Amino acid sequence: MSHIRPVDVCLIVKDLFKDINDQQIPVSVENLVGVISHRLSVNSEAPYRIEIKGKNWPANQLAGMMFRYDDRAEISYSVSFNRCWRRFIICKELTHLAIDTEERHFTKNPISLVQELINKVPAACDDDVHSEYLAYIGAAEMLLPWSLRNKMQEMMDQKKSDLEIANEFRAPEKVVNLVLRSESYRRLSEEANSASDSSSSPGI
Amino acid sequence: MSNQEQKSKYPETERFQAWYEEQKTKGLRDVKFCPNNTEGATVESFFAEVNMAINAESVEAPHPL
Repeated sequence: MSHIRPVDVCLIVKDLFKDINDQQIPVSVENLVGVISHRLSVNSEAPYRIEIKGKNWPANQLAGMMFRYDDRAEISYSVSFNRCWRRFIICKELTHLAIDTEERHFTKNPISLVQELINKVPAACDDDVHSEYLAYIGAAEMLLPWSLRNKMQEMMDQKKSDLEIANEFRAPEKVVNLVLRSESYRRLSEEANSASDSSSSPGI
Repeated sequence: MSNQEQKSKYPETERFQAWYEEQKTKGLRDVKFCPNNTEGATVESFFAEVNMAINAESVEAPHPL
């Protein structure tokens, strides 16, 4: 089964934010790219480059993709999505760079992966598909980080709608709704953030 | 008609596979996809979009990310 649990993903993302001094709303995706790039460059002679490319394709079935090379990664997203979804797609792929850190975490067979993504019936204990699920959690934690949840609560107290909060955070409304309204997501976040800061996480 | 001359049933999937194998020789280690709506999709139609995305030119994003 997968190398990490959902709660570990929350901890890994929380740890990334330690290297970002200016935690603004909306979260800067460029800052996240910088931190992950920096961490992937450790023990390397040259900086690890993460290229973000907005491209024009119909995107009926494919919203984005990530190719990881030895010395760089390329994340592509379709410009047919609005800014909030573009940010989410990029963060989902950035999560893969942060959590899938060893050869055994990498996709073994892209065609099988696509079959399982389409059929939504992954083979038992399939790590490739589980990694996709974890990446969605990571993207939510990047755009709506624990450190800014008090700001979200303040907005809720001001009777702002999920859409208004989503607009301020530049995150998809669906994702704001999940983070704010889902009991299981709330428990996940609380578990992650009540865990000791000194606990080691398996990410970068 | 020889097997090689027969038209492939899955040209887009095979095109991606060929690209993937070539990129592995150039240091490609991992591939991830972010699906959109896959209702009614097939592996072949999915890889048709993947191939389009691979070959599309980058365009400048209208807003900072």
